[in-house]
This record gives sequence, structure tokens and C-alpha cells, in this order.
Amino acid sequence: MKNIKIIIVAGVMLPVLFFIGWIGMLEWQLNQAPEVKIAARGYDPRDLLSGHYLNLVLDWDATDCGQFRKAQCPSSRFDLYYRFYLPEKDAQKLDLLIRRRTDLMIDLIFSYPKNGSPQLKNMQINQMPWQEWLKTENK
Amino acid sequence: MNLSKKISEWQQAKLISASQGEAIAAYESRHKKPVLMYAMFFLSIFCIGLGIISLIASNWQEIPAAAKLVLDILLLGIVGAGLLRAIYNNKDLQREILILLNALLILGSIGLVGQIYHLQPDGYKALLLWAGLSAPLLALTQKPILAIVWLPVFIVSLIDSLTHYQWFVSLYTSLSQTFPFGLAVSFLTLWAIVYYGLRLLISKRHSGIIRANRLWMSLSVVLLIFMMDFFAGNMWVADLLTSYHNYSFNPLIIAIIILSLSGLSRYIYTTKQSYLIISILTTIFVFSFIYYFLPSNDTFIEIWGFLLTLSCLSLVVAYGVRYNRNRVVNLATGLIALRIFIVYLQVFGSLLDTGIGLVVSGLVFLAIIWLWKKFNIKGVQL
Repeated sequence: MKNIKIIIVAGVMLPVLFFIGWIGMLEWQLNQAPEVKIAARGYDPRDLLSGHYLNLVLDWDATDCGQFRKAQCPSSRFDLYYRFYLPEKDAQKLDLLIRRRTDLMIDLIFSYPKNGSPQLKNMQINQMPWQEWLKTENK
Repeated sequence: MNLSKKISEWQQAKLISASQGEAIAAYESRHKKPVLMYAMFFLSIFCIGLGIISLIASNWQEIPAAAKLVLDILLLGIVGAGLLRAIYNNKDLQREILILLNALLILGSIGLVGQIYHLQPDGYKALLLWAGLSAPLLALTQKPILAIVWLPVFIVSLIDSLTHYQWFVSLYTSLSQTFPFGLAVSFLTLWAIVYYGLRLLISKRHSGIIRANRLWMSLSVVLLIFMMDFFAGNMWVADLLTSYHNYSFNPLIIAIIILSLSGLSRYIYTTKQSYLIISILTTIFVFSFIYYFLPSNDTFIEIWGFLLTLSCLSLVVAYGVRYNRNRVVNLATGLIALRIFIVYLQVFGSLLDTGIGLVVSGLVFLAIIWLWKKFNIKGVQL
């Protein structure tokens, strides 16, 4: 009977323990690896969930490969395109701006571990974090 | 027929007295489940759960990411603690509501972590994670709602994840090229083994996961029969369900399917449980072989499909007769009549041919009914 109680408690509390562990692991991965900055541009596949994120394709021609080992861009370690999640109202506005304006420089910031997948951390527009850039645009 | 009508009929037939009738009505009224209240409760919990998911997923700018995550984990912990309390205090309704809320919160939490850490979608892995984390809840619920949603999510996301592995792709290809519809037959046979395995393991025959398995497995079998019957000649479906290229008739795979089906039949025989699904699966398995040897002529394929459906529906009728399930018998007989009508439209062009065919079929059915009546076969009521 006591064993069954322990199993029930473990089963019900499994998600809590899992999310604590998962978030801890993601934080550790983000913070232990160096950052790299890769240029990106707008990409617009029709997507049912579009509006809550930006679809961006990596632009290796506009990326500074000097930040990588032997000054070679390791494009095979990255996906072809990325989703950058952001609040719905900002996503719609940025989506329009990115598609209309050709003068914007978009960079995606990744944590780049020696082994394992690079993890998307942030987005910069014209060398500024996207939130700051959006504020200057709204003024 | 409702209860009051039945009671009045029993009274007229002098099976029960007036006071007994009143006692039955009073007993049934006391034990009547508040279905509307339950439905409203589940609806409200569903709305609240979806609302919380939307609020979390809307990713408010104002709240820092860390605060959102802490709040989310706290909420999960509180709901989990409430669920444990409901389980230990035997509060059934509370337990069921909190199980559903917990499952929705787990889904919302996966979405929240995905958004905050910009995790890239990878097939249906997020759904597989949800299925894994919410699986323990299935053992705690006695209602089928969660299991009915959980089961297809689990199966689809698991198959999607397995397609990343070469061994699974090889197995998938071998099964689809073994014999026509081999993939679907193998999948349903495996599912039947899992289903009857669960019935052995779980003592409660009506537990949510058992009922959900029965429902989805039955629907899948019906869908397969429908596809084999009406769309076997259609290239798109043929490509989806079969491979027209050189069937290998792999003896190992065929032997495994035959052994599995006969093993299941043996198990069903010894436990005197329903044999319907296994007998239908065996019929589909046999018909899928015949399909390969048919000439590539639309009429042959249509008649083959008709015979398959008719055989499966006849098994349903036999099942209904054996277990005195008159509604099942009536429904299956109605579907047989409908299918016969359709085959005349499919196979014969003119109204004259169709008319003659239908009259002959009707006479054959009358003869069968007469034989049933004459030999007094159990369960048939005219």
C-alpha cells in the first residue's frame, strides 16, 4: 500500500520535477557555451501558427565567419531556418517591417557549444536587441 | 424506451405490482447520475485549461521569463498536490477535473518553455513529450476522456519520432511491401496484442485506457475496411496503404502475423471474451492476399471490396446474435442492406439490372430469415 502511494505521488509530481530539470539544463546550456552572431533575413512559408513568431532563414553570405574556428562558417551544424518567438503584437509588426524594409540588418544570437546543437538566444536588428530597436522605431 | 414506459408495461403484464413499480422508479431516480452537471464541470475545466494555456502562450512582454516559469511550475505543483488530496480523500469528481487540468497545464508548460528558450519544432516531439509526462495520469483516471485524446496523440507522435531511425524505416518499408495492405494489417495486429495485453494487466475492464483503445482500434479497423472496399483501385490510396511494386510475401512477417492472430484467438477462446476484432482482422488479412491475385479490373476490385465488407459485417451479425446484442444485429444488417444496394450501383449500369438484382437479393434475405425462424436460431427476433 505504501509503495502504491509512493508511485502515485511520483507519477503526479513527475511533470514538476521534469520541468525543473529541463529548464535547469537549458539555462546551463545557454550560459556555458560562447555566443556567435549569424545574419538572417525574413522567410515566409505559409504557416498556421505564424503571427506568434518570426520565420528567419540564416544568411551565411552576410555572416562574419571570423568568429568561428579556422574562420570557417559551420553551416551544417545549424538548421536552414529558425523560428524566433515573440509577443503576438510585436511579431505582426516586425513581420511586416522585415518584409518591407531592405535596409535592416538582422542577426540571430546563438549559444554555440563545442558539441551539440547551437541554441537560439536572441535577435538583434541593426546591432540592437530587437526590443530596443522596436522602441526607437515607435518613437 | 424510457423507464416509466417500461414500468407501466411490466405492471400491465402483471410482472410487478404498483408499489414495486414506484419503488423501482424511486431507486432509479436516487441513483441517476447528474450527467448535465458532469458535462458542465468538464466543459468549464476545459475552458479554464485552454484559457490558461492561451494566457501562458501569449508570452506577455511585461512579465520576466523567470517569473513566468516559476509561476508555471508553482501552478503545476499546486494542481498536482490538489490531485493527490482528491485521490486520498476519494473525491471522484475533483480527481477527474484536476487530472484534465493537469494534462492541459503540462501541454501549456511545454509551449511556454519552447517559446522562452526559442526551441525549434522537431516533428511531433513536443506532443510525444506531453504524452510521456501525462501518461501516469491515465492510471489515475476512471473516465475515458483523457485517454481518448491521449492515445492518437501518442501513436502519431511516436510513429513520427520513430521515422528518424533507419531500422524503423526499413521495417515500415518491409511491411508495406510484404503483401497488399500489409502495413495496416501488421499495425492493427500489433495494436490488438497491446490491447489484449492491457486487458490482462489492468484489472478494471472499463478503465479509460482500455475503452479508448477499444474505440480507436475499432474505428481504425472500420476505416481500413472502408478504404480497402471503396478506394483500393484509387492510386492515391493504393500508394498510401499498399505498394504496387513487387510484393515480397516475406514468410517471416506473414508467419508472425498468423501466429499473433492465432495466439490471440486462443487467448480469446480460453477467456471467453469478444472474438469480434480478431475474427475481422483475420478476414482482412485473408482478403488482402486475395487482392494481389485479382486481375487489374475495376469490377473485380469492386466485388472483392464488397465481399470483404459483407464478410466483416456478417461477423458483426454473428457476434450480435451470440451475445444477444439486438441493436448490433440490426445496425449491421442495415449496413449489409446498404452495401448490397451500393454494389448494384457500382457493378451494374442500367436500372433494369439494378432492379432485378435488388429483388433477387431481397428474396435471398427473406429465405435466410425463414431458415433462421424454421431452425429457431437463438437471438433472432422477428
